[in-house]
Amino acid sequence: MNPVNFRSVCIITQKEIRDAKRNKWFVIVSALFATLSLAFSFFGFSGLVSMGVAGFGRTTASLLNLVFLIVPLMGLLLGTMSVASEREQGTLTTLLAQPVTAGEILLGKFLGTAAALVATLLLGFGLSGLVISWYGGLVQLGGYLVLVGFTVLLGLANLSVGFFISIFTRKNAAAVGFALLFWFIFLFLSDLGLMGMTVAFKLPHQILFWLACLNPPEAFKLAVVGALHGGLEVFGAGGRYAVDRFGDWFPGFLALVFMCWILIPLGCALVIFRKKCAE
Amino acid sequence: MKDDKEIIAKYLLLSAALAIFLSLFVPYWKLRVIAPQYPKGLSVAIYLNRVEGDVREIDGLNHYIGMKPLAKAAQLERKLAIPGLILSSLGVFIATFYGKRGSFLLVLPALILPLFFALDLYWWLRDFGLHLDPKAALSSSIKPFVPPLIGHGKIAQFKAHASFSWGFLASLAADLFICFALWLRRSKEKCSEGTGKVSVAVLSLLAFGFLLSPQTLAATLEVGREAVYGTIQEALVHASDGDTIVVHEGVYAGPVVIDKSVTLTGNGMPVIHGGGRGTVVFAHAPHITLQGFKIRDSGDLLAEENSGVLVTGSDAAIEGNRFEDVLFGIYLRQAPRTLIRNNVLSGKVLPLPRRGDLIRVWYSDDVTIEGNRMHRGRDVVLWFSKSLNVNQNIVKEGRYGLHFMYCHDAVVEENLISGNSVGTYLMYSSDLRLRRNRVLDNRGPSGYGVGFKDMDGALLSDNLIANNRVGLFFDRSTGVFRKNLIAYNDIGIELLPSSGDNTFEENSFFENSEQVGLENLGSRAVTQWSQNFWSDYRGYDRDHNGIGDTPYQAVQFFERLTSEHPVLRLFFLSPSHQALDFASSLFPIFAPQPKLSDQTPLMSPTFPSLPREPQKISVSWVFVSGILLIPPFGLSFGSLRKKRYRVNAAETITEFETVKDGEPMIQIDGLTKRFGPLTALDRVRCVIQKGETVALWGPNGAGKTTLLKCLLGILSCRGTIRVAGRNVQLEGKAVRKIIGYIPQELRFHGDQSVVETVCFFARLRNVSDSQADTLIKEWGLAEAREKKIHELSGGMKQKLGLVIALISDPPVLLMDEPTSHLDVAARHEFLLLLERLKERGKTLVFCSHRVSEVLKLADRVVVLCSGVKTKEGKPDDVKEHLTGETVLCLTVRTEDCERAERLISEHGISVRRNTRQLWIRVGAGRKIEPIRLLSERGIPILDFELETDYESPAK
Repeated sequence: MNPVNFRSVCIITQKEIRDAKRNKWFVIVSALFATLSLAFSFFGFSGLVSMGVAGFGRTTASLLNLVFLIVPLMGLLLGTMSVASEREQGTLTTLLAQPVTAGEILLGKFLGTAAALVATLLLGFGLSGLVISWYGGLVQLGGYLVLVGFTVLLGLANLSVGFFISIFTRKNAAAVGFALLFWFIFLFLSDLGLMGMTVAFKLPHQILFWLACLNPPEAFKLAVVGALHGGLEVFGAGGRYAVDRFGDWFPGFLALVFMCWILIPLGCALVIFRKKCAE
Repeated sequence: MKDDKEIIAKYLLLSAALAIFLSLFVPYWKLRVIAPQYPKGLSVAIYLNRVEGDVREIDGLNHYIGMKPLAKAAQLERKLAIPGLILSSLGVFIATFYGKRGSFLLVLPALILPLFFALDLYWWLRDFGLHLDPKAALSSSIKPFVPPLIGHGKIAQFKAHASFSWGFLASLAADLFICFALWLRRSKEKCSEGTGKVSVAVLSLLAFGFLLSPQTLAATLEVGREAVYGTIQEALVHASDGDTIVVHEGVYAGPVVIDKSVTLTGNGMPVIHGGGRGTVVFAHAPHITLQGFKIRDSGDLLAEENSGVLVTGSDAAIEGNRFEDVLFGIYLRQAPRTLIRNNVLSGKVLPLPRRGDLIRVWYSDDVTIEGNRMHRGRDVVLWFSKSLNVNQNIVKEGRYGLHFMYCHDAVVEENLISGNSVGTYLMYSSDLRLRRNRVLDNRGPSGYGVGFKDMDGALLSDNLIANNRVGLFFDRSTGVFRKNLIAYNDIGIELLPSSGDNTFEENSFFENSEQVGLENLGSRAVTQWSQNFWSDYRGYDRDHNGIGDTPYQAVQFFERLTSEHPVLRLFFLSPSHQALDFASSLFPIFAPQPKLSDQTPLMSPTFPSLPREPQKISVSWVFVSGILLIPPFGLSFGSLRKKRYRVNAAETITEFETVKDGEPMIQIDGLTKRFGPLTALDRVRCVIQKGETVALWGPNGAGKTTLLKCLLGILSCRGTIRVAGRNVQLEGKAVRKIIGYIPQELRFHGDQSVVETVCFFARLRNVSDSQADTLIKEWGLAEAREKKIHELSGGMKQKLGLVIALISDPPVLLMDEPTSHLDVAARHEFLLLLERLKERGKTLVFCSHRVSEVLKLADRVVVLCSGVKTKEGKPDDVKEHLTGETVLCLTVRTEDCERAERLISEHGISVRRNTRQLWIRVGAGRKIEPIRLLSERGIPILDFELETDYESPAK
């Protein structure tokens, strides 16, 4: 097995970042995210500034929902289209004919798209932070940084899943279809399925908690709401179980879940892509 | 009347005579000296005729500084004192019965006695202090001084405190009696006033006399390193009721027991240290004031209720102190009318169950708790007390911020209660009024902002209750709630079924996750909702009267679901939660029964009359936001400055092993490649020498492209392929360094420029940007340098492909039908370029369907058919196997073009198209097939031609 040449990875990463900046679709989604983040901070955190209070209300929750609807979609679309579009355009063969390994190509592409995605997220959160600072920074800075951190992890986890799907996809359209399917599964079907199972089979809250934690958007929600909201009691028995079980380490556990969601699909994609290479 | 006056005068004079006589037996003056060697202090008492006390010790001390012994002072005066005093007393006594004008002379000695004593004493003090013996041991360090007649003084390391004593006061009182008696006698002739006035005068005199008593002559005692008293307890021993003890900066050991009605004032925040044991300060007497101290480090035994201050007397004032590391802070036990004001209290760093209450009030009515700041305690708990005032306090990080138990008629105003487990818990009390308080961020397991249990007649108005788990919680309680802002809580109001009759008017329910939680829906009937603002109200106000035209109804499907299945609360705020609520709002048939109904909802919120926060920019947020914005802006503008790529010399192609003479450049042995059931290559063997040009010939699907990809190492396969002696399957990356590859149609990212594309591949091959530039110029792409890829013609694209393939000057070039998309002129030019490469000794392997190209370029031809090598040899030797293909160009209608392409493609014939033309590559004898196919499907052929450049060797 050829050792990974990080210079080659770095060159491909740079190219991916350049491509992302030229990608109109990506620019539009980034602008959309930045706008939503600004709205999130403006309406959510500056609600009753004159009373010296800001909090986690319904509007904030709705906007947060919008954010974590968009970020997985961004991650999945970027991921699934990354290899599929190269394959469809025929550029992948040209790339593979160079003195680089399939692993280096995939890793470089992942790092490049990840960097572009993270930059987009940070742009949105940075601008939101400026709005919040204008209103006196009434929100806890730590909670906000947890929100930023877990949004990045959510984006990367979905990007990684997207890359995994991309390995098996030849056409761009199919890639987008798969991305939407997985997005729908992650965000709605899994939760609604669990809710249905709970009602039907009386699942205990411990099992429900573990199953919910395995779903990236749920893990994101538990971490972020826990940090911004000042506790997990809002999630009832499941939240209390999390506090009893993990205490202050709960965000760390969720970060570990996300690391698994990032590393396992990416690792599988690397192994399979090496074997399959491309045609 | 005249007799009355005379009688009073006589009594007064008799009293004066007696007082003067008795003063002989009590000291006139006291001096207390504290020296390092006598930490408990020394004292002397000056009588009229003698000196008593620690005379010897003081003389011993005086000796060091050269002061004369006390015995030497006022020797004559002391000798004359007894006869003088007896005579004075006798004179007054005689004057009692001798009321003529000369009586004044009889009382004169008594009148001048105190003045004489004071002046004489002062004279001797001056004499002693100013005439020190210069030969004394410490004379050099002591300057002459005057010891204090009254008050504090310091001589070297000695501290002194002097005061007049009972004898002096008795003689003063005698003087007053005498003066009054003489005045009465003078005025007895006039007698214009009644006995009442005389009585008043006497009483006034007595009152004045009382005021002169030592108890009412409030003294100030000082405690400190350089003061008279070294410890607070010592000062307390010597203090009297009403005294003020000033404690200077320093650390004083506790416990301090205050059993007199004194004022203890800290100067420079002195510390009273409990040493981690018991209670630090006990205030047992009434009217104690304790102010300006830092009281710290009490014991931590809950059973003993170790406190900072335990107050058991009434009317105490605990003001402006700091309590640190205390279990209980201020404990009032039956201490009514106490004032606790402007203290700062911090509890011990202990788990919540082991902490004590920072303020605990027990059976103490009329207590005022005002302006205190408390954090990290258990509760501020108030038990069995009436008429309390709790104002402007800040309570943070405790269990129950404020906790009322059986307290009635209390006012709680303008407090900030935040970050506790429960903000305020009101239990078993009545008539409490909470106004203009801020109750924020209380999020413990109960997490109530304000909890009511068995409460009657509470009135909450103008409070801000935000960010709690539950804003207001009710259990069997009644009250009226007006103009409160209840915002951002998980549950705005939670009502148990047992909740009583409550009225909610003009409150604002702002962005609570669940506005109202009703357990079992039991409280709805007895709760009045009117003119409240609900942030989730979706009604309208057509008549612009500020009240919505439709009622507000709290209906949430998910809330109803979680009340039936509480474990589902885990999905609170998830997209599925939002989706369910959204769906139920679209289909009202599924909507649950409303929890409450406000018939007159307000359209805009009403804010409590609390002071508004000035808006200010948060620097820390600006800083963090700036850091967050660095990566995106770095990525956006990072490429503006073009970086020159640095070549890694260790990885250049020159270090790659070159092929020795006689060894093949490419060696293929038993190469087999399968795609599922399809065998693309079957046991192909081939050897290609260095500098040789080999053409791969065969129909579509023969395996030519697959073979090239296997050579590149980008397809896994069986068998062995060696390029320059290296196994492609094991060292594909290394092998690709010496291989340039040109696919059939080179595809790049269309929005990249030529130079960007070349530089990217150059960097991948460890070639510098300048070399890449040179190559661009050399191969005639200089003019197209900045053009986007999609702007290039087919010929230019293929030329670009050649540049990229040659960028690292590889010895081997693999080409997959490189001229298939070129026009005649471009093809000709491209072939010339390849000939140049051949001349330069490159090993070329290419596929082609053009016989002319094969004959022109190839040294050898490998013929493949269905993945099997059927023939190999020089072009002339295999001519008969080079069955030519023809390109048939059909013109059809634009609308038929796509369908025609699909039909022909499905028939297994290679086809390309533009808007109206199809280029169809067919083998010999099959030219009619596509024409027949289209005719059968009803697609008219408008024109056709054969591309004449495609030659057959048979010709």
